[in-house]
Amino acid sequence: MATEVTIPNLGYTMRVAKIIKWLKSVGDPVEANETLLEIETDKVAYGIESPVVGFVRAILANIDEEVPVGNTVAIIGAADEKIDLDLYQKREKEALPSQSDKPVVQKESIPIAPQPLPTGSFILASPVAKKMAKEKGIDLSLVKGSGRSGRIRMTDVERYLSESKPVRAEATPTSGLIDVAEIIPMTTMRRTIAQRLSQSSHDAPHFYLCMDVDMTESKRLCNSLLKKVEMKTQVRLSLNDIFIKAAAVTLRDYPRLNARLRSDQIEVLRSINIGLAVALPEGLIVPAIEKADQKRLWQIAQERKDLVERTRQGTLSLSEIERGTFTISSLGIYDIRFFTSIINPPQAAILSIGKIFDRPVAKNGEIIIRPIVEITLAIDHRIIDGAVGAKFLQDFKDSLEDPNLLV
Amino acid sequence: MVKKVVIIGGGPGGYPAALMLAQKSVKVTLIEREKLGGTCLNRGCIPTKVMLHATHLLREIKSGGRFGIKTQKVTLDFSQLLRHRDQIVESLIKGIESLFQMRGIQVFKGTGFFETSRRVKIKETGEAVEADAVILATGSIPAPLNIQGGNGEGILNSDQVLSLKVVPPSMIVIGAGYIGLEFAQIFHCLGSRVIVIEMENQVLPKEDSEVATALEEALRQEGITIITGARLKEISGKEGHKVVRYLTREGKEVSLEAACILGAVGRRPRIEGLNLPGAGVQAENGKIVVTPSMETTSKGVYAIGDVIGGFMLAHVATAEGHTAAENILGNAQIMDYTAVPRCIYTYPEVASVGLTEIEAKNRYGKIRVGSFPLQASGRARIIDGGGFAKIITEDRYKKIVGVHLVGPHVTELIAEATVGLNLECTSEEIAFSIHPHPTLSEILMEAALSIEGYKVHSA
Repeated sequence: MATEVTIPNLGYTMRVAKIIKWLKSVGDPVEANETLLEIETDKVAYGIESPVVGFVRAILANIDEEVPVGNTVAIIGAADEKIDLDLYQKREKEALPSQSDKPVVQKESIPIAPQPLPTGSFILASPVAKKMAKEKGIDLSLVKGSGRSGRIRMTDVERYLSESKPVRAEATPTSGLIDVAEIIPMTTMRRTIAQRLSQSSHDAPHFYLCMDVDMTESKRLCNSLLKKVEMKTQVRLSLNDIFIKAAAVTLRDYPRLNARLRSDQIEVLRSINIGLAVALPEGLIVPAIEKADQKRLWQIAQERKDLVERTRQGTLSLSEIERGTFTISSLGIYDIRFFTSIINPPQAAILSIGKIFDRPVAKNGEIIIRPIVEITLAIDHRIIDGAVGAKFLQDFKDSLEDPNLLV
Repeated sequence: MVKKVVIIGGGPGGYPAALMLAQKSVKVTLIEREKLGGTCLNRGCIPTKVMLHATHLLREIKSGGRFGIKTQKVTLDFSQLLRHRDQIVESLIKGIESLFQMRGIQVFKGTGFFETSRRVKIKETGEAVEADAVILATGSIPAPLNIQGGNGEGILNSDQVLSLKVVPPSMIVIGAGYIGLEFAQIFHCLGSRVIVIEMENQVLPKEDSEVATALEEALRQEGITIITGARLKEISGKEGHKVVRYLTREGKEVSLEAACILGAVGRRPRIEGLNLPGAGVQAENGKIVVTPSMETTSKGVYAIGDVIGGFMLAHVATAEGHTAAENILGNAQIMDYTAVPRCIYTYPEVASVGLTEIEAKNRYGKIRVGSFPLQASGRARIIDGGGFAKIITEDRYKKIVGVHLVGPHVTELIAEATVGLNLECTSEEIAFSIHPHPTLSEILMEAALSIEGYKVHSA
C-alpha cells in the first residue's frame, strides 16, 4: 500500500507551508522517520519525515511552492508497486483549484528495480521489549540488543532505563530533592522559538540603549485623534500605533537598523515593515505592518488591530510574519518599567517599551508630573555601532515628544 | 584459529557439535566408547519412546470400540517389540555414521582421557590425538540407589531394564521422575503389576504441582499404584522376590513385594577416568564446572551435556554443544536456559517450559495464569484425551514465563511455547495468532486468550 506524505498541521495557526528543500528524490529508499523534506510555516522551519519505510515514488510539490495543510506532497511505496499518480493529482486539483496549474517536479512514478528494503527500519526486538519501550517512551533504536543478531530483549531495555535514569523525570522523585510535577514535551513551535532565540542571543552581540520618553504630547495626539479614527475605522487608536509610526519614520534615516546580516553582507531593506510581538499561549508571533512609514496613523491602527486579531485566531499568512524588518515589543499592560529583548533574527534591532508611569520630572527648575515611558533599544552590534543606535533612539524620542510631524 | 577439535563422547551433545564444526572446515575427531548416539539413542529417549508408542497403540486399539472398531483379543509380542525397537535404534545410529562419513569426521573407538589439555589418549589402543580445542561430552550414568540393599540382585537401573527379555510379573519403581513414570507405564501396559514409590510429596517433584497432580491421577486411574512422601528403609529379598520396606508419610512402616526393582533416582555425570587434573579441568560435586560459554576451567577445553549436570536432557546437551562449537569457531555465544522444554511421554503426555506457578510467583510477585481444559477442545474430544493448558505470565507486560501442558501430543505443542518464551512473547502474540482448527494447538491460544480477558471456549 502506498503511503501519502502530507503537510501536517503543526498545531496552531498553520494553513499553508512553503516547501524549502527536498532531501530525497523520486526513487530514493527512505526509512521510517527519515526526513524527506523541509517546509517553512509561520516562523517555523520543519522537517517532514516519512511515516513508513519504502521508496519515494512521487514528489508532488515544487520548492518554494506554498502547499495547504493536509495536501499530499509525496508518495512512499514499495519499489515495484503501481502508483496511480492521476488519482492523487486529481484530488489535489479538486481541493485547490488555484494551485492546479502549478507544474509538478516529477510527474511520473518511475518503476524501480525491486531491492531489499533498507535495513534498520525493522527493529529486532522482542514483543515484551517493545511493550516496555512504548510504555516508558523509549526510542528502541537507541537501545543496544544483547540477543542473537543484536535482538533487543527486555533486560536490554531495563539496562537502558537504569543507565539513563539520572536525566529521567521518573527517577527524580526518588532523589527527594526536586519533584517534577509534569513533563511538557517541546512542541515544534516551541523548539523553533528556542532554537532561533538562542541562536540570536549567541550569534548577535546585543548592545542595549535606554531612554526616558515624555509621552505628554503623544498622549494628547492620541486622544485628539481617537474619535476621528474610531469614526473612520471603528478602531480605537492606541499609543502602540504611535510607537509604530514613530519608529518607522525614524528608521528612514537609519537604514542600518532596517537591515539584516546574511553571510558576510549587510542587506539594507527597502521596505520598513514594523513587527509587533503578540504573545499567544503557545509562544510568540510577530506579524508585521508593511511600509508603516508610509501609512497614516489610522491605517496603522486598522492594520494593527486586524493583525493582532488574526494572530489570535491563527489565520495569518506566512508572508505577514516573514515580512518584518524591525520589531517593537511592548509590556505596557504590566507594571514593567523597563526590559530588554532578544533581537528577532535576521533583523538588526528591537525596541522594548515599558509601561507609561506618571513620574516627577525636573523641568525649568521645577518638579512636575509627566507620563514617562522607558524605551530600550537592542541592536546587533556586529552591524550597528552604539552611537548610531543612540542617535536613532534620540530621534525616536524626539518624534514622540513632538509627534505632530507624524500625522 | 582453531583447526583441530577432539570430542570425547558421541551422544546428543558431542555428535551434533562434531557435525557443526566439520561444516566450518574444522578437522574433528570423536572418541566414543560404545555406539554413536549416546544414552539418548541407545539407552534413553529413543528406545523408551518406541516402547511407549507400542503401549499407546495398544491402548488406542483397545479403545477402538467407541468408533465401532471391533477387535478380538489383542496381544503384544514382547520380543517383536524389542526387535523393532533395536532396529529403529540401529537405523538411527547408521544415520549418524553416514553423516559423519559425509562430513569427514574421524571416529576413534575407545575410552578417551586427557594427557594434557590439548592431547587426548585412548585407553584401549594407546593412540593419542592432539587438538586446538577439546569438547568433553561423556554424559552420565544412572545414579545408584543409596539405601541398604540398594545394589543387590534383582535391582535394575534404567539401562538394565531395557535388556529385560521377558516382562516381569511385577515391578516396584523407585523414583517418580520422568524416567520412573515412563517405565512404570510401559511395564504396566505390558502386563506388570507396577508400584511407584517417591520420596517427595508429588510425582515429577520439579514440575508444576497442577501438572504433577493431573498425571498422577491419570496413572492411578490406569491402575498404577503410586506412593508419594515415602521414606525408603531397605531393599531385601532375592531376584524374583524383592521386598521394599519404607515409612509412609504418617510414619507407618510398610513392606511391598515385587519380582524386580527399578531404581530411577536420577543420573550422575560420568567423569571417572578422564584425568581431569591433567588438563586443568575442575569438577565440583561430581560435575564439571563450566562458564556460560561452556568452557571449563582450562582454556580451550569445553564441556557439554550431562557431564556438567543441570537439566540432563538430550536437547539441552545439543544446545550446549552448539554453544561450545560457536565459541570454538570464534562466535561468542552463551547458553540461555530460560526456555528449555521438558517432556514426559506417558499417556497423557506432559510438557512444560519455563517457570512453574510457584517459581513464577517467587520471581515476579504478581503473575497471571490462563488455562484451558482439553475437554473443551474439539480435537481433544475426538482423540479422547483429557488434560489442560496453562500459561503463566508476569503481571505488567504479560510476558510469558511458563507454559504447562498435559494431554495427548503436548510434547509436540510445547515447541510453540518454547519459541514464544525464547522470543519473549507476551500472551497477546499467542492469543491473537491464528491457530488451525480443529487442532490441539488451539489450547495454547485459548489459554492465552483467557489471560487477555477472553474465555471463548471455556467457562
